[in-house]
Amino acid sequence: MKLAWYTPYALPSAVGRYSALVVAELARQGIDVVVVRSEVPTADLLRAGAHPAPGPVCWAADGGACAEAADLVVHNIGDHHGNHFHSFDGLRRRPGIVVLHDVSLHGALLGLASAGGAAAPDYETVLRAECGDGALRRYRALREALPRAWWYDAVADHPVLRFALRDALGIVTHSRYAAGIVAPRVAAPLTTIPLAYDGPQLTLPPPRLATPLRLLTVGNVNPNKRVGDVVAALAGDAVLAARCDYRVVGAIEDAVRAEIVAHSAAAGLVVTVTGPVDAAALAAELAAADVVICLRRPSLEGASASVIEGMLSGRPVIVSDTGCFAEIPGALVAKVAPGREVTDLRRALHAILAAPDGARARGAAARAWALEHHAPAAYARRFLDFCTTVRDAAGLLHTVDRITERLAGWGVAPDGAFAERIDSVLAGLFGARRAA
Amino acid sequence: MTTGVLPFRPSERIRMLLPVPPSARAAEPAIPITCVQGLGRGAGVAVEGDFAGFHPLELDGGVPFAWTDGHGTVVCRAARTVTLRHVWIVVHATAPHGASVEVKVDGGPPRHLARVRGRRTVRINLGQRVRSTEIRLELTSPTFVPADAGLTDSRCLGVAIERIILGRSVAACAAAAWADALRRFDRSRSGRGA
Repeated sequence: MKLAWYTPYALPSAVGRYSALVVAELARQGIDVVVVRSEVPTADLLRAGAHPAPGPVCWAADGGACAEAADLVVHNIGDHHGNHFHSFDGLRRRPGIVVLHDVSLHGALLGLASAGGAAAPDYETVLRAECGDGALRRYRALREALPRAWWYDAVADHPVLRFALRDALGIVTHSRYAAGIVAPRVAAPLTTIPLAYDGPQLTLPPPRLATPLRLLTVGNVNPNKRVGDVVAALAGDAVLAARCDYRVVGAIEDAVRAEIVAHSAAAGLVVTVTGPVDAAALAAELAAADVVICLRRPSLEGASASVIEGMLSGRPVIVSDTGCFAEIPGALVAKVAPGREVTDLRRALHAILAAPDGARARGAAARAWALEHHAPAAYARRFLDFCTTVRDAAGLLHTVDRITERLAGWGVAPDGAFAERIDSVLAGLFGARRAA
Repeated sequence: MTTGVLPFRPSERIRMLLPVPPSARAAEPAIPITCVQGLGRGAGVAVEGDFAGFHPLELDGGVPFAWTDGHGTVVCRAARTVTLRHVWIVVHATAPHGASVEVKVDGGPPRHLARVRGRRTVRINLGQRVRSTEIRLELTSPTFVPADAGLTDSRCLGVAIERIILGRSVAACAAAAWADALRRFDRSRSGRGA
């Protein structure tokens, strides 16, 4: 089988790193894989370098010639229209399996809408069609007065997915949380496979867990990462303020950086905001860290590379008890409840200070679990199983789409008993026979 | 005996793909389940709701209800400012093994509620009287897929909601629920259904 794997592939891209791991493993398992870069090529992107690949790499922007002979196309899609531009565009022309990295595609939708062109979607039309009049009213109420409240919070209540996924032959999510959002909105074969990922440096010495306790948050620092809550937790607790320092590593908006710096300076805290770093610097940050903090509210990702990096580092990890993070076994990480970040975080940090040996053991257990749970080899095997499911469902999908065309021509919608009849007949024709 | 299991529900895919004219969309019912008011005699308030994260309305023996997809949001709006303190959520059904339902009111902290199994009314005391024209409820629960148990329904379901009852007091909610039940009973006796 020959797979064409559409993906961002620049070195700083976490989706690129995941893709590099998976295509290498697929190649090891005998699959002929070509990588098709889905980004809009820019000078910065070209300067950033690319992950290594086991086979040919071409750009979709140049026509994606290396993908022409592929038996199956795979599109990685996330909430960044520039990184995934040629997958949003290409999926219509060449349907395939979608690997969905985010459960909110509002940013990508807005980017595609702003890019213009004949096929560009209209943001409000898509929002209303997928989420209803209430969502549109809410957007209009917030977009001017409180844009951050919409883009970083309210969008979680109104997922837009169908505009991007309606032509998918099958969908892979990386958490049950993401699958629970996709399943009622997009009717297509769906599976969940834990994200394949590794860390920038797999083996680190155990954390010191001594004063000063170094706390670390990594990744693109958007407001939903609750960095302000971490600062507030330290600022309001004299013991933690005296015994902890905090480093925020990754791309960050100027407004968020200014807020953090001002708040921490006023409270006399030692907080460092580095901005974006390369893999070597990230490895050094993880090596020097004692505790990794991965908070989200709301949770907009289908899976988190940074929490996997945190667990693989062997450091104790503190996560929000929401979204994909809620699926990590509670014995391996400390969890804080959404809405109670400050108090729960203080409790978790005091627990680490009071019992460092237990925290160290928990970090080691999390590392062992992450190595197995997020292993690329197991991911590739499950992905290939899903390719078989998608191939088997192709006839059903084609038939349903033909029925839809006919019904559209008649102006008929399948309601009530008609829908039941369609489901029943097609289940008899195409359903896998399973003992009841 | 064997049954055919599909990887998705064909009728849902047809609904997803069918081009629906904007005018038809606007005419779709905006309220899949009923908001009932117990806001005091003579309040004369029309309570309407916006719903997100709900599957289409279904009927069970004439009783309308709608399943959440795991994250259902209901915004109940009144035509003018009302005072309320209690919110009752009538759960029509859950997964066979039950479900833990978490409710957030107006974006506040989550209220962790007792495990719900089958039909049950979840009663929330807001703690203080709220004067507002709207209240926003977010219902979060684990999901299940009936198709995993061999059924043809491949939807991802949370909990099924039958009614939202808003009231100033427990007695007002109880009276509204009772009056609502009587109305439904009368309708079913007269053969008009719900």
